[in-house]
Amino acid sequence: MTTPLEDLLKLEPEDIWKRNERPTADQMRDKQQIYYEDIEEGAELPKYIYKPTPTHLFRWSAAIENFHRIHYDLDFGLNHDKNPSILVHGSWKQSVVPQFLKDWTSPGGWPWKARFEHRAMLVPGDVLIMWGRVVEKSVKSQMGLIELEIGMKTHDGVESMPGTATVVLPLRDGPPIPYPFIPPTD
Amino acid sequence: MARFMAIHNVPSMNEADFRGKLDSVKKWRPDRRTTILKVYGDLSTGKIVTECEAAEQSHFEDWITMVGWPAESIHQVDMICQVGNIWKL
Repeated sequence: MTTPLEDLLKLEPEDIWKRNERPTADQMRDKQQIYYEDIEEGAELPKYIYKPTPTHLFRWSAAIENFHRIHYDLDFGLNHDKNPSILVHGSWKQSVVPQFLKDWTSPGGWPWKARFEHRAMLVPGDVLIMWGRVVEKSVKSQMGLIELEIGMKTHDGVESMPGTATVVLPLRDGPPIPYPFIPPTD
Repeated sequence: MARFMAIHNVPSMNEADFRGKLDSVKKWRPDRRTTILKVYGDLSTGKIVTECEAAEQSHFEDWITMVGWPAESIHQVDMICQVGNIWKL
């Protein structure tokens, strides 16, 4: 049972971090399928908690070869762009969304669509909460479609990435979700 | 946004006071761009220099009130030389 987002935001950053529900690789290997019928509107997905550090940012810059100085050069960020610190990459936030949705729907579901906006600067020292909430359910082409509200909040409650997503879960007595995924037509 | 620097005189300051005062205001964040960048302390003479990036000087003044280190003077910073690099703000 995940801690409700509202309750999580009442905790100190260190305590929010202790509620990280991001599964380990072993947990993912043993993950049991969630079925459409298991999900109720209003349910919250397990929260993924992140604590980005300058080391994480530098590693991401190197990994994706984005060498804009605002992400790793503190002097430049402060004095040239007048930022409060080095900035967490939007592309990193973007990378969290499909992982978050894929993990929840695995092994047999499918993260179909997601959209979100980058709204706030994130900096080392922020504790970040990747969250999702079920807003609507429907069945199409024998697949369970789950509409989600998603976002990434800072420990002090700023929504940095409001968005929506559609994921597909199998019906308990339905066929497997096709792979590669074929969107429903009806 | 603007950079501000304040000079404080806080006699009989010790390391525990320095840490404790700063810890008590660590949640101060009037907005996501405002931040205390550095605090320099010479505890032997009670001199402290603080540096803040803020939208308005009044935000910095609020922090100074909260931390309880009266400022002898507050200055808006125009130029910085940092590790050999000169930055015009």
